[in-house]
Amino acid sequence: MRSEAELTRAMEMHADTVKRICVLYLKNHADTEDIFQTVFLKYTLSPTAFESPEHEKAWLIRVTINACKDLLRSFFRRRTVPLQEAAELPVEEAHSEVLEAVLALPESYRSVIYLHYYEQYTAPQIADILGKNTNTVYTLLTRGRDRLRDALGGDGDGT
Amino acid sequence: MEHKIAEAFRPIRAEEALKARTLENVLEAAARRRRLRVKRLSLCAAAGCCCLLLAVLCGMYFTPTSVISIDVNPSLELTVNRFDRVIAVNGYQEDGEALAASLDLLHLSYSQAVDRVVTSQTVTECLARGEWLSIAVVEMDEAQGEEILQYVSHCTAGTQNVSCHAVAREEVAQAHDHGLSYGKYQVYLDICAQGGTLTAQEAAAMTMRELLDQLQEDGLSAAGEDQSGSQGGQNGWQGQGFHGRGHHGC
Repeated sequence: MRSEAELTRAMEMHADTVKRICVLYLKNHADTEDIFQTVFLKYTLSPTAFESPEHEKAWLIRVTINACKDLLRSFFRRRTVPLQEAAELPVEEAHSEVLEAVLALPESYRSVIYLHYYEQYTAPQIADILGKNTNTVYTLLTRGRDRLRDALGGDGDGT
Repeated sequence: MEHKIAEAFRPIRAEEALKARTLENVLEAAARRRRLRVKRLSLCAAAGCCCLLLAVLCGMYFTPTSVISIDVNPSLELTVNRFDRVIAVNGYQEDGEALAASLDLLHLSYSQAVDRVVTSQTVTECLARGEWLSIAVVEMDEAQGEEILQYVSHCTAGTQNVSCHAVAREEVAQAHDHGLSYGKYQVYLDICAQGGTLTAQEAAAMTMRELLDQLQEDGLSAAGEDQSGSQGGQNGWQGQGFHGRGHHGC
């Protein structure tokens, strides 16, 4: 079991990443807070020894994604979450359209697009984190980018 | 697109309040789990101790410390534990097995069990016919053996044709290999010591009275051959109501 100091340090370093992934999947505050706390409880109780901060971050991303998927699959989570809640997120007007477009993507595209474009992970790294084939990740990235371009009316710059 | 996506996600941050709540809740949950684990471990340890204690008690309960061999023909053995309870009843030959089956002796105190056997219809009828009742106490725990011997001697004190004596276990250890009860085997050994030619199978089929008569005959003839005559005929089984420590010469 990890100490309070370790937990505090991990939260300082990775809380934003965990929160963004929660938003990416859950799109509402209540579930986001639940999963946020669940992830850091798992971190505190986990006996995993991390080789580096990168290893620790990848572990937290993987655990967060799995926790979000578990919640979405949960029998008790019957209610659908309106996309409008995303509008409550603290995003500037200029970028809210992009955020909405990303959040509107199917789940498999969403995580790949986020990890690549925001967290700067390469396709093999994303494949490792998500437990997918690298070629599958490349395919998801290409299709996700195309969908975003379509959604944003060819506004994407093709990076 | 990379820039736009980055800009779209950048403002999403974990608020300080969320972090504080999380820290508080996580530490509380972790402490709760730690307490639960300690509680579970304590329960497991307590259950383990109970199982161990139970196993030790069972082991102690089912460990024989004395055997009471009651022989008239039928022959019956009562195995007694350190708590003075009968933990096994073995009948020898068909009539012994029938007697064992007819009396509910398991887990009774040895005193109750001996009383039931001695006052049973089968044994009283045998005694009425002039048969000899031998009660041999095979000692594994000497103190308990003495106590049992005192009890059986006392409870049969007024009865004719009864002998009660203690037997060292190592001296009659081969009894069951020969299909004999401890008490009968001791007399068989005495007959052998006197030069008798009796087989164990023959001894098994004989009553205690017949065996003692045989022993007396062999003892007398041995005394006739041995002019010194120092031990002949003094086999300890003579007379009525012999109580004490038996002896044998094999």
